[in-house]
Amino acid sequence: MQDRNYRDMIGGGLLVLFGLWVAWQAWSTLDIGSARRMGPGFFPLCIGLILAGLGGIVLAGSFVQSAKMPEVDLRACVSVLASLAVFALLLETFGLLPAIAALVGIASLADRTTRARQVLALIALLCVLCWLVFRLGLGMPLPVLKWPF
Amino acid sequence: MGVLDNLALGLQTALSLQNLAFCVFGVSLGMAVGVIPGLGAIAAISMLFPITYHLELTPALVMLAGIWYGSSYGGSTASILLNIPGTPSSVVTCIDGYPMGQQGRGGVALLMTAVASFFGGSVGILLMMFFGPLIASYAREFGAVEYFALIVLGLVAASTVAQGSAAKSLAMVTLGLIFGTVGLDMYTGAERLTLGIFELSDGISLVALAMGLFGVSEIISSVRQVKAAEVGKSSVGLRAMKPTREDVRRSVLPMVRGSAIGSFFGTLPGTGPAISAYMAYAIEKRLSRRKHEFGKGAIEGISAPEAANNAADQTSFIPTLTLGIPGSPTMALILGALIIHGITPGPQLVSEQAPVFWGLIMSFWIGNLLLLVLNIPLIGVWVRLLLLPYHFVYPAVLTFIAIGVYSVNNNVFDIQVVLAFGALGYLLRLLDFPTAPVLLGFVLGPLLEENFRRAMLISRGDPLVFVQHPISATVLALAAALLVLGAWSALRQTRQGTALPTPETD
Repeated sequence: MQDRNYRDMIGGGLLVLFGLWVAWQAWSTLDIGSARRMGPGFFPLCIGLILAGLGGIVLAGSFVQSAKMPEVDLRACVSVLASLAVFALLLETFGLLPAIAALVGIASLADRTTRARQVLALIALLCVLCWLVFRLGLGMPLPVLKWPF
Repeated sequence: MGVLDNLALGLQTALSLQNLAFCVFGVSLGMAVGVIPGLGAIAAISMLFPITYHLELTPALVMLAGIWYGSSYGGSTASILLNIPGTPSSVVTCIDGYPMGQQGRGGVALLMTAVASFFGGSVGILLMMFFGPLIASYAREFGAVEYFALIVLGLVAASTVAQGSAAKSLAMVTLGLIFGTVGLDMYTGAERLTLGIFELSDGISLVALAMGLFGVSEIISSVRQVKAAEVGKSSVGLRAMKPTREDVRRSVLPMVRGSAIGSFFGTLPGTGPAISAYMAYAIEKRLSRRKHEFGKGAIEGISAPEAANNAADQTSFIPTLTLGIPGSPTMALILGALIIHGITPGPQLVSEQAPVFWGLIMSFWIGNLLLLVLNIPLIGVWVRLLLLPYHFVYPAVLTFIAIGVYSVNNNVFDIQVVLAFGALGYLLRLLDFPTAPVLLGFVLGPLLEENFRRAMLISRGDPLVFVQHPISATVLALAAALLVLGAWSALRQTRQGTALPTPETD
């Protein structure tokens, strides 16, 4: 690889784009007002531009530095995020217990050393614990188990 | 009210059964998450944050604060026994704590860190009792102009003082400010940056943001790294804990110096317990006549930093509670708990919410005493926790995060927000951006904007008002100086051609 910090190049670039987008949103959809009587868009416009500027500094710095690219743990990232997404989908349609089972099951895929039997035990433990704490203890209005069809 | 009245009031509040119970719960949980590597105080506090909606303010604060200082006690355990710091502030404790453990003096090291932690914590609480009301009474004359300047200083200092690139930290603060503007405008009710999503008109949920940025992204990056380990049980028995007279003699002065360093840096924004511990260690090493022993199990090398990080834990409450300006993300969450309970953070808190302020302080005494007592006889339990495999810990944590965030508004949307911020947090880690300033900017953003708009309204649109008020001029000059310093050190670093990795702050 060349002597460039690609990490900062991506990061700085993303910040510039996001900052400009925020400033443009504020400019086009909100009332900017005047310095004396500021509208709702004044502050977002300012900080959007500041963010773009800071992103620009990071971007500029990336051309004169070098750094290693990070290692992406895609398996961990996808399974952890997917477990949350599935939990959100299942919670109100099927209830708490299936949602917990799915979350723990999917999240456990992140780590290769986990055994199936351990996962099942953990699911059972967490189901009992959450039912005790959140349903009985705190009295949260959560459906524990239901069948939508 | 006299000082004694306040203390009596505080003690009465702190000793109520409910507050006592939450104090015990908070410090034990703090101790536990401090011991377990890959699970820190911020993650634990954001996990328990939803409960604070169901509690009164005082027990909620007592519990959250207990997690915060409890984790500093626990963090050193993993450092000494495994050479893995349980929390960022106990990284330094590894340097001499682990060699002590290897030499069969782990028990002594554990005891001395508990004592040093208690000593540092006590100094911090005393300072808070003395300076808290003093600063608050001085700050009561501050107006919008002064507040704007103070918040700017807080944000700038938090991002330039910490290690790593100042431009990156400042960018992260600004990103936090942007997240803070999402929702309805406070004056006109206009929808800002909501992308047309109905749920976002109430703003981004603080809990969801904190859990995503710290809890979820921490889990993703720890899954492969954290491995359960083996601990030799022999060195941690009660009998092995008795320090020699030499140990005690050599620890007294380092503890005093460490507490002083920690107390000072704890109050400043950006320099939390972790930096205090580093400073204390560096200074001890320089002062010591036994430099060659450092790194090989010198007892000064654990008592100074442990006193420092606990003192800093306590004094970091001073700016948060008396000015309403938090110096670290954890303090930002504490501030969030205040805002949720309808209390505007600021100098009036000390006088108008006297039971809360003094009750919290007295609960610190109780909590620190509890930690000192809990730490030693229960060491077996903490060691057992250390042996817990991470693949049992993280799915459980994820489950509590998901249910906890749902419980705040009974809304599935908030879980999706956690997911989004978890992904963002992981991306930021990969790109080597610090995530802590995002939370700071998010919490302080609305306060910053409100004071800015109010100040400009009073001055009829003249931005010079910030320079004409002497206090705000001084404070802003300080912020500018920090910016110049940050830019200068960044330039120097760039010339050397190396990008330093950003260590996690707490």
